Amino acid sequence: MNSIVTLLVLVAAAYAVSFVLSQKSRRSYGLVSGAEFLAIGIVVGPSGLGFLSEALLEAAAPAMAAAAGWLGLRLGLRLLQTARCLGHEALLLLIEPLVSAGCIFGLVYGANALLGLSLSTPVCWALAAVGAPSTRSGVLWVLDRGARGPLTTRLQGLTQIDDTVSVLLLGALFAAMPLSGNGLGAWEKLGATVALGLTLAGMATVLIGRERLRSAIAWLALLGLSALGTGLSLRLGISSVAVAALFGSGLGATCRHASEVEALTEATERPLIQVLLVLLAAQLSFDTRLVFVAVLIAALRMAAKLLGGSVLHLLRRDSGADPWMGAATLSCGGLTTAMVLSLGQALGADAQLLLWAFVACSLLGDLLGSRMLVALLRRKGELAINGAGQSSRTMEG
Amino acid sequence: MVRTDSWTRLLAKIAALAALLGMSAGAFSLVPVDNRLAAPLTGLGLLLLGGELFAELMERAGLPHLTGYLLAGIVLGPHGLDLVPATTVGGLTPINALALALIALSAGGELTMGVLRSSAKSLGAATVTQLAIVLPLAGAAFWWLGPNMPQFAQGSRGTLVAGALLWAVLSVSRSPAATFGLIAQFRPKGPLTQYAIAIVVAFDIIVLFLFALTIQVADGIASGRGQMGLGALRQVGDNLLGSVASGTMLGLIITGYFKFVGRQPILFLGVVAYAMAEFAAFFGYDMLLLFVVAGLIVANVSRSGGELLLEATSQGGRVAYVVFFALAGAHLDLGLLATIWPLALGLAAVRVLATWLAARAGSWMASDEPVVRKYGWMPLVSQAGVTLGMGVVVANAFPNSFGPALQSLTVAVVGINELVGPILFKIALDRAGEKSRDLDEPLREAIEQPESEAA
Repeated sequence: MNSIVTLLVLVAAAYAVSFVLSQKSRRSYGLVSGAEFLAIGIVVGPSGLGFLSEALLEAAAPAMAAAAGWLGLRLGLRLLQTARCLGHEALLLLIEPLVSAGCIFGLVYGANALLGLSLSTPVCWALAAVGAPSTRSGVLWVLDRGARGPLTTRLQGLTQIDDTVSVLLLGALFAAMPLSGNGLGAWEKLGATVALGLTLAGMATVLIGRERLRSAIAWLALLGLSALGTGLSLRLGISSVAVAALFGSGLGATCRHASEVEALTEATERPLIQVLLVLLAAQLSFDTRLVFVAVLIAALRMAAKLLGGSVLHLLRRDSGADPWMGAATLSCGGLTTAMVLSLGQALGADAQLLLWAFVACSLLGDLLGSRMLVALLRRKGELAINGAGQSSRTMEG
Repeated sequence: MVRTDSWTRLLAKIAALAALLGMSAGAFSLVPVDNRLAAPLTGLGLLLLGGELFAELMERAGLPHLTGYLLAGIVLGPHGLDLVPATTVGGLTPINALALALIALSAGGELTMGVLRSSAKSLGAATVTQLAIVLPLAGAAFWWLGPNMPQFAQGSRGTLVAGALLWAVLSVSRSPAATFGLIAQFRPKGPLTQYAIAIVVAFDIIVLFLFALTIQVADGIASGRGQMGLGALRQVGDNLLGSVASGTMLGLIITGYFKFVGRQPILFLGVVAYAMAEFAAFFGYDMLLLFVVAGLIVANVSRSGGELLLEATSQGGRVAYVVFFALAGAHLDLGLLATIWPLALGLAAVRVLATWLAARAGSWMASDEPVVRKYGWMPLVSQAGVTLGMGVVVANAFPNSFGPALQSLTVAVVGINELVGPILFKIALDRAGEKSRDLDEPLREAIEQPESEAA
């Protein structure tokens, strides 16, 4: 059977299994990052049972790049709404991911020097960018279980706004990385990132128009501009995810139908992330050293997150912040997946380390992050011991 | 005032298109070295956006969207500005399969039993007359004009006979995709629409058989062996049966999904369509027939399923149509058309004339309604992917004699029919008064409504 059909069948099976088991697994174990899809990818990849061949992964690379760009666009569309909702609080919440990213870089860089891990500086920055954000799913999960209170609200805001730091880091990192056949300097690349993102946003606003939203036109404009933006970014050697996030934010700021567009495209996010997780995990090749380094990086990320949470607590002691906030936001989300993908395609030989680090961080986030989150909210009295499934997926305040 | 506003918006879109092309050209000159990831994505983005903007321009000119998509492909493609080079066009071809699957699904969704019953008599008569008139006239035209090409002028008499036979079969093939593309845009209802759907689907099947038979006969005549193997015909029969069986199964799966799950229908259809397209390619099944049958099953097994299918395909379908026809436009070799246009134009004209004659005769035999009698030939002019595919088969079957020349001629004539056919069909729908709605109606309504009223 054709590899693409195999992939589709596997993804459909994974989707079905997830559909049946997700509620149960979330209730029981708090799996929010899609660890089951990572497991499927490892099992069916070339290093596992080999259902997905190297050739298929190679052929799927453009589609994966497009998917990463699309997730970046979705993030951008959401970011502005969140920032508007949070007001000046958004700036304060950015402290945690900033400190976390700085600490991850510092700790990984230090460990590299101490242990001789042979990591390049761009890889250390890439790990910092990938490690800083956390998924919204964890907080949405506890919200579904009836969590309410100032810390819950703060965590919800934090998990929605912390992606900003990673996107900025990613844009800067791609600008700083030299690319063969590309004569653009770092500042030129940064300028190109901003210009491309904003031009795409302007075009989308014109194409979607001010009249009643027509979904077919909106889809065409978003798909076309997203594909074009990703293609041009890859050609120029700039971050496609950062461009897409800027595109989304710009669209959110200028388009009258931004919230409708956000709602229109919402259903695409989960299936895309699931397919990407399978494909990402399938690319892993086994290497004991890499596994060891990845586990170490996951532990360092946890330490950095704790530090970030503590700093935020020290600065905002009065508003419900808690020193354990960082530990409660360990889970990785869609943006991390997109970033790992785009960085993996740019880093070449170092991509494997990034992939392993992502898997280790995701698993640790799933196993520890959700439990820490529940424990913290229970300790604060914001989550009942047997929380009822009261659903609330909107920002409070 | 309203018109001024709508033109202002159009100008803004044209400016956006110019900015888009300028931005792409700027990026291409800044970094001339392309990479394997960037090219297909840039190409896809340009074709989608260019197609949509060209379609809007064509709409203002009273032409169908499909013509705009084709023009976008021609302008942006390898024979135009080369912003989407030939390698990229080739790389994007797999997306065609998905697009064609959605197009065929939506066409099948229009084929309720009522439509089939009411079209049966017309279909029978039209099939007989199309075969009895178009085949001999197109063959005779080739016999007369073919020697203008050196391969046929210098070849044996057998070569010319073989070429004429194959050309005759190529001439009766139609473009289901173009027909369904227009139906998706205007959602027409009426006897002319039913007639058009029934004929193009029927001829998709008939031509497969005819072509398999003719290529065997042509091989026997051209090689002078005078023998032919009928194994290929059996294989065609097997494949058609397989297509119908797989289509039925797919239709039942889609019906079941709509009935019991119903979530994210576009996503579900996209995944299922892609998987089945790969399945069809693997077994050599006729993809178009497979998906038309699936759509037919969904429409006839459950009424709500048919409506859901049409709604889902019309939402996701526009993207599919743009990709499909923009890629078709990008494939059109204008350079080739420029070199053999007199011959191509002559053969295309004879085909149109024969089609008109056959449609009139068929309508007279079946006592069709006046609109079908008058305009029934107009939806049958379009030709596209199926005919081009057969041209490739001919080139591969006769690589050292007339194959490549006949393929070039096919590309040139299909180019003419691809551009003219959709316009003729749109004129026919306009005159027959069967356009029940335009996908752009909401826009027009919004434009024609004062802003405050719309709010």
